[in-house]
Amino acid sequence: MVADNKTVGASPFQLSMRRLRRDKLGMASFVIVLLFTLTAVIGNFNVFGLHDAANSYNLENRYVKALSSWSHPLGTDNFGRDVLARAVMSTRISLFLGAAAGLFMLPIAILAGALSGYYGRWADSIILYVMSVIVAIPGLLIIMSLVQVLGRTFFIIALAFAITGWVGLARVVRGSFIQSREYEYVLAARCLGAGSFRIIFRHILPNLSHFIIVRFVLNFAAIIKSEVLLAFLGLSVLGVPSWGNMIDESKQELTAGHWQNLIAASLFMFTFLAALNIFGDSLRDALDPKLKNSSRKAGHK
Amino acid sequence: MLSYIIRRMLHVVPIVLGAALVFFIIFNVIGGQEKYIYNMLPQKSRTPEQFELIRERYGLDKPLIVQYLEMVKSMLTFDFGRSETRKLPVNLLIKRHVPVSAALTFPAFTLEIFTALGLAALAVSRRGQRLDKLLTLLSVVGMSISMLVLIMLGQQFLAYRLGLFPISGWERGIGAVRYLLLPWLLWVLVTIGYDVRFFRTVLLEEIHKDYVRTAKAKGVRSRDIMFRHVMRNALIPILTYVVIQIPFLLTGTLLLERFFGIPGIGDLMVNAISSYDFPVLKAAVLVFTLFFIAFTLLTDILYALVDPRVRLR
Amino acid sequence: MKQPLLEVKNLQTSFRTEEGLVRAVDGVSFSLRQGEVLGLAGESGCGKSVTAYSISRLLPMPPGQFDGGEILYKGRDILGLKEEEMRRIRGREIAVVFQEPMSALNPVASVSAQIEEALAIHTSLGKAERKERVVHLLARVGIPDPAQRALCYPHELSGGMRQRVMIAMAVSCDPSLLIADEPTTALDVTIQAQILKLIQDMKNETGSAMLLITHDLAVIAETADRAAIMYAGKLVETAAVKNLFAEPAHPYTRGLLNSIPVLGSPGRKLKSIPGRVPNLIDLPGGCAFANRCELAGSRCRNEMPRMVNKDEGHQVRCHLHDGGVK
Ligand SMILES: Nc1ncnc2c1ncn2[C@@H]1O[C@H](COP(=O)(O)OP(=O)(O)OP(=O)(O)O)[C@@H](O)[C@H]1O
Ligand SMILES: [Mg+2]
Repeated sequence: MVADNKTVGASPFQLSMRRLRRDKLGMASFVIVLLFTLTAVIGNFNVFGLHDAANSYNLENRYVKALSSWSHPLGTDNFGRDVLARAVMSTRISLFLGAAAGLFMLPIAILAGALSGYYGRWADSIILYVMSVIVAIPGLLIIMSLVQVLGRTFFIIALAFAITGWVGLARVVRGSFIQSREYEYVLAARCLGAGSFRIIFRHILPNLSHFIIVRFVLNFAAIIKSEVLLAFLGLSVLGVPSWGNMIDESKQELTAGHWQNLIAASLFMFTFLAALNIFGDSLRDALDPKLKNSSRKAGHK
Repeated sequence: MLSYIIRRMLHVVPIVLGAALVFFIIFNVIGGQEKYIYNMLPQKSRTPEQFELIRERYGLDKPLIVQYLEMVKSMLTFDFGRSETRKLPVNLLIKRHVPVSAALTFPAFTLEIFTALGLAALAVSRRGQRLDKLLTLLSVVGMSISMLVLIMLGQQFLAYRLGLFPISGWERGIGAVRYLLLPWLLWVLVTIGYDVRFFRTVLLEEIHKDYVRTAKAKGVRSRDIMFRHVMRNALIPILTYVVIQIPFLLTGTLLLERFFGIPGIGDLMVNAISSYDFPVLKAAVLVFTLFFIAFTLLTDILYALVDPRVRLR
Repeated sequence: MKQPLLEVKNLQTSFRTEEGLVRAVDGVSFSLRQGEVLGLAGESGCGKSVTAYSISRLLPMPPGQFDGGEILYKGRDILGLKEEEMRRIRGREIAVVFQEPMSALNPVASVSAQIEEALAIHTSLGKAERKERVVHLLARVGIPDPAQRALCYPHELSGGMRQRVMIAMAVSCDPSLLIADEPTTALDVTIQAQILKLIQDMKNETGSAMLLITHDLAVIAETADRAAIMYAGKLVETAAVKNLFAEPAHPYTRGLLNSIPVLGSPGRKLKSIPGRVPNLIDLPGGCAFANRCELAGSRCRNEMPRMVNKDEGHQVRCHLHDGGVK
């Protein structure tokens, strides 16, 4: 038999990455996501007087039109603040919020899912109950209440997203733990005397990682969109520019015919979200090609 | 069947207990009493006497556990008292606002679901071709636009500049339709991207199953394969997805309600949270949990109707 | 001689996949006369199903595609037909019995609805007549209490019963050609014989021709008039069944025959063919079987053997019968 040396000897992960690299649209989206991440990191520092430009009120210089001046490429807003600088700074808040909420959520979801799926019994009952309660209440209600009571800080908002968002992932983790309790590699590890903790982290979680990654990416997009809703309700992070805050501020400016804020913030946000959604899809197809549109199953058992 | 429904409705109790606990913890425990009362009182009446009055009226001087039990009791007996900010019985407020939200939500939702299903079926029957790619692209676009931006643009252009719709407002009775048209349209635009995509995935998965090939081997037309075979099987995941969303629609339309001045439950609730109007909040939470349980129950019953393999136990 | 019912000429079907082009069927030719049974056998993955589904054009396209050849059914080239013309042939002229009775029936439609659907498409029977016909068909395929069973859903039936339903559905419109793709593989051994017998009876009753796919040569010996052996997308030997078993010409056929357990001779060791089926993406230049063949010579590795006539109606694709292996 002729060995196909392209596919022989590559791990599933390497194969996935190879598939991903071949997906041009997916890679382009990935580059865009990276650029935004870079922007977010830059936006964290006061390079080129970024923060000053974003926050300095200058009522002489209100509503400069976009593309009309070098010093304010995207114009200025209601208070004469530089719109581009604000959009760049907003990238920071929105991206960090998505990332932080995701990072808070993962341990909750994985722990809860693993506990209830692997140990079962009372742990399962309690966690299932908690999940059913959280699912029954609209998430936005909990988030709004938490932020209302605890304040509009970055940390609280991220935590609120995590508290309401972990159930979906935990369900999947639970499901696959229930399944893999019976799998051979887990049985084998048990026979070799591996402890539960070790089994969970060495044997079961790695098999779930691709699902978790995809979930993280899509969750990211959802949080960025929800931040805008919070901003509209006056509950987004206080005192810093965020895409939501910018869009919300532009409400009054529109009627007077000033579009700078809305256009800048929504273009930044749209580009990032579209890239993230497309990248999420490519990632899922690459990690789990079974889900792809191809009809490999047809004509075959 | 009836005993099944009754048994399922009893699940309401533990869920209400849990939901009550979540909000009790947030407002009474984490938030704390002082803050609670402070926020409840209008600015000019924040005097020590008023504090005492409120503390007594809402039983805030009692131990936490008693307070919690009283909260649960009022929820399970539908006894919410009066709204602190609106000065009206809570039950009346709920009775007024829920139908308004329903009028906003259900027509828009139904229209959107059927359009999305149709588009998804179209995409799947032309899978891999230009139309499919276009629809997929459009749904990504739809998913990536912020709802707020869409609403603002819609109001700005379609209502304000072109005058096709009223900018905002509300009236009782059939005249409300005039004010609902634009919100309906916007709702469809906001949600259709996600749904087309989800339905497309479900239908695509279904269309590669063996029974579809059997139907084709019988000589069934591809349109009939899609509607008589694929759709009926896909209905099971689609139902779960659709029915579970319904209770949340009420919050989903919150933005529309506030933007267009529609006095629905979302609007009521946002105000309740920001003014610590606890009686209204309790009632709203109860309404949502009841809706949720009712619709999960409905899903299960529909399952049994659609799928002969499912038995209600 | 009469024109054959089905004539497949140099059929080539392939799939575009991520790993490359899978040449699942590569130059297959055979013909089938009215009422004849052709058994098609070979190891898993050699392209039997793809051949069968090419004939009724049931392959997903893409990724599947026809690269060449003709399939003449009653003298018409099926590959050139419009989808709508093809649809009228499916079920009415060419019917298929699938391998997996579990998944091949629609789980949310009743048995009677599924059989009725075929009748509604291809006949002018009214609703009441169709119902009657369904019960009659179910009785004919040996389902007890057919009027009751017609109302059942697939999950309420056993595997054997489901396959009987599948067969009833296939013969419902009296097709001229029946394609059975491993109709018994998924069933219990005891049921297998019953279903095989049923298929034979049905075929005799309707007078249709049959393409029977299996990887069990015993089934072919039992049922078929002629046999075709397939290996890596190509036919390697075709012959009348008794000739094939009496004097198998291709080393692969002999290998297959040696791997059948023979009843009543427990002492004889079962011999399986060493090696594995080659990857259909990167086939070696010469005979695809060469690296598993004890008799292979240098010519086998470099030159693809031709299909040659060994006897009247007995063809083989092997250098041993065409000038030697050296
Ligand atoms: N939809 C498809 N996409 C890609 N490759 C396919 C597809 N269907 C079949 N193949 C490939 O075509 C080849 C032949 O498959 P086929 O199903 O005809 O085998 P078979 O002889 O019927 O085997 P079995 O006895 O297992 O049913 C296999 O290598 C298979 O991987
Ligand atoms: Mg097969």
